[in-house]
Amino acid sequence: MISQERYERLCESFTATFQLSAQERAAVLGERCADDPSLRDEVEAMVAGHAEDASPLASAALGLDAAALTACVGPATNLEGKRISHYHLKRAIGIGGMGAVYEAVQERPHRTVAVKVMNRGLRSRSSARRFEYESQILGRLRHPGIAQVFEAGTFKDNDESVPYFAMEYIPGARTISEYAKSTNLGTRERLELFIKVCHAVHHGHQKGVIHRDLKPANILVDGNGEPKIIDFGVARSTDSDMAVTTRQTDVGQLIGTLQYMSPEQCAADPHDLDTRSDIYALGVVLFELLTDQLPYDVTKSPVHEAVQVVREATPIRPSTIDRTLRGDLETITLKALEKDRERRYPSAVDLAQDLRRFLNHEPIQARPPSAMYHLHRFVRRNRPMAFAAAAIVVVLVGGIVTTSRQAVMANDARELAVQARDEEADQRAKAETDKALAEAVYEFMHHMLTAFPPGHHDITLREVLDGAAETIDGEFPDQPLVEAEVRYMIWSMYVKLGDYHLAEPHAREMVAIRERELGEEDPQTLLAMDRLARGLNHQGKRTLAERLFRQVLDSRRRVLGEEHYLTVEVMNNLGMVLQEDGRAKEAEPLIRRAWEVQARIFGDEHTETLTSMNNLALALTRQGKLADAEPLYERSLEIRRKTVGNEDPGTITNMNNLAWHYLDMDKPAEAEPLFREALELSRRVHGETHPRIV
Amino acid sequence: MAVLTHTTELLLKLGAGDEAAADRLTPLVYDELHAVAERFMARERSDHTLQPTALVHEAYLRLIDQSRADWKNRAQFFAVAANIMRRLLVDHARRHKAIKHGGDAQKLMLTDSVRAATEGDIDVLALDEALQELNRLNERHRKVVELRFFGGLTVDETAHALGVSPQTVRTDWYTARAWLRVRLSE
Repeated sequence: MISQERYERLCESFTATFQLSAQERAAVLGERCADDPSLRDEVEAMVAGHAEDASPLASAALGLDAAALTACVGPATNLEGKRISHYHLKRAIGIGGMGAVYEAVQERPHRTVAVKVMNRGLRSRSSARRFEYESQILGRLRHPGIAQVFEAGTFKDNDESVPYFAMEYIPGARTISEYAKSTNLGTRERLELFIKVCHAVHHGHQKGVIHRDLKPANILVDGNGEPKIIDFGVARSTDSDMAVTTRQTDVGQLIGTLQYMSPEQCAADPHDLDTRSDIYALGVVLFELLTDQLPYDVTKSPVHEAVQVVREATPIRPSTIDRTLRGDLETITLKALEKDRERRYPSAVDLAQDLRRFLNHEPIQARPPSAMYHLHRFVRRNRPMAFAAAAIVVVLVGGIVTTSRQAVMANDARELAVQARDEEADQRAKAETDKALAEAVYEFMHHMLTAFPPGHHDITLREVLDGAAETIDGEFPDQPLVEAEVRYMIWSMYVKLGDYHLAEPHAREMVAIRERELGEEDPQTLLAMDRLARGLNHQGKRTLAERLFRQVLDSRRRVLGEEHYLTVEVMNNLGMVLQEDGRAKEAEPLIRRAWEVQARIFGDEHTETLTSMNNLALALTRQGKLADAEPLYERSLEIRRKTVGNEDPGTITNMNNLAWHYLDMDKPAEAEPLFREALELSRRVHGETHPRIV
Repeated sequence: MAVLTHTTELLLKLGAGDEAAADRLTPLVYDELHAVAERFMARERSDHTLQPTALVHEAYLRLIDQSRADWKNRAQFFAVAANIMRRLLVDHARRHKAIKHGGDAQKLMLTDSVRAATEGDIDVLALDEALQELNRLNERHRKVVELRFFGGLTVDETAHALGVSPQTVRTDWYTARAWLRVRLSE
């Protein structure tokens, strides 16, 4: 055994000489080690060892092949071929953060099972008791959508008591996201599958078990296409030994799981979880099923940043990934993903039911509180934006009616919001008035909506609307602009319902008030006139409509310029009136101009552009220029189907127009299926009594 | 997040000279290295060569709040992790040896110098024994080898971790490595 003193001498001599030439070194060492020749030999050996490898120091680190490294650091043992209790473990089928899963054969009854062996032993008596208790509860979960736990137990490994679970083996299992992708499931089928998952999760919740680790890897789909949730409650039942396993479940699990963890799960101690954390995870899975993406991309972030993102960032809106998700599906998904668990669905079955409503084209429950909430927040954050707030109220109330109509309303609302913002920018001086306006409008609408007794679930838009229409006269003696705003909402809701004659007086009032209060050429007045004219046109009062549209067009040309989107919008509207009046030749240049400008400002696929494109086609048709019209109809329908979907009223109108066109072209075989489709969709979207159907 | 805060606190305490913090940090890092290794196992091809330092880096990112830790803390963390890595390898080798009833100890493929000195694989248990002896002879030399070899630290990082100059690390490393080669080839 070498002494410290000798080692020191070795080191000194080595350091002094290893960079010298052999001759020089021999000389120095001869002198240094005169008293001890063996010391000189050892130093020479060290120098030889050093020189043997001249590779750069960068590669000084230990390198191992991955298998050897993980064998050292990874799970302790591979139990393939081993026997635990009455299970023969045949092959490992998966390794998770907490343990390895084996395909195994049970002796009695003879069957194939999956055995999950946890990585860590139970290190205290209390944790063993807790495990036993929890595993009994797991055994009580009986649901076709949950992989059954047959038995939970422990076995001795060295000195540790290692927990295992024997579970239902799922042949041909794939994760839900793999399954959806590989079988190319459509949105409806994905939702049907997901609804089953919700019901299974709900069963667990009713039995008092929180899954705590819901993610596609734990939601399998068997060979028959039925979902099976695995590892229900497993995280908790083995999580009892806080000193050991919270680290493991929290940090270890964090890895692939972080993106499915609720903000409160990321934030706090594991005891604070409740079933609503699972609702959040379901929301992420739903998001993923609908978009093939996750609401946050944190894959490349360090944990602490990822945690922050999950806790604070607003999720990506599904509709920005896929436009057809606009409206209810997005609302449902985002409600499940609310940061504040109080705002999520209270249970998995509520989530399932809202999705069912969506599939049945019934009004969903998610929207009203959420929209109210957003409106509230919106008004607080953007006090001057009165007009936009009002527009959102339209959406809010519209939400009570039907699902598909919301897409239209939301769209209108967005455009109105854009307009409002533009106009607002021009009128910063009026910010204070606008703020008051926003709040007054909000108060009124809020009052209208909450005037119904609680538990009165089937309030229709009609009831709210008629109530508002009755109440408004004399309601705002000192706030004429608020009255105009509210009348505008009432007008637009009646228009959405097709009740143009009930809408008309409100539009007239609105125009009158604004003319009086703001002047004839104020943008708000012009907007009101434009809306009045639209309604009049729908009622066939074309002379009046034409006169108003021309007035608006002249003013906007002067104030906003020829190429402003509002100018061309009214140009298009005027064109339509002329056309319906049998003056297609006069209409054509107006509509064409509108189309060209819109295509440039908004792009080819914008709804406004498409409307004008379709209108231009009509104008051409009316003049007998059928061959010129056809490509326009076809192209606009193609774009609409792709961008807003078949149920959009614009798409349906477009379908109808193209069908008539085919008839005109003497192509009944092409016309017929389109008519059928348009009629069917129209019934579904508008209901039987809408004038467009009648 | 509770664990992140906890591990970061411990590391900061260690940095402030509380040696006991290292003992409490060790099991946390140990668990994390396990977890990280499992993930590597799931995604890496088995013939891929890995450096334990990859595991250590990842564990560091996951356990320590970067906004609160500085480079000194980082070096200290790596020192803890390198020590754990060494123990993990040794435990594994021992287990394997026991399984084989005293047969060959686990041989690990090593890159670079030690393989050259030993004409191939290295006996981890022998290396561990030699390091224990080295610790008695010169603790800093043992630390330098551990940090560089098991933790994958560069000369500069090692210097930070130990609070010495890079030149000292370089000299220590050359010397200790040369001595280990002689010792292991005996």
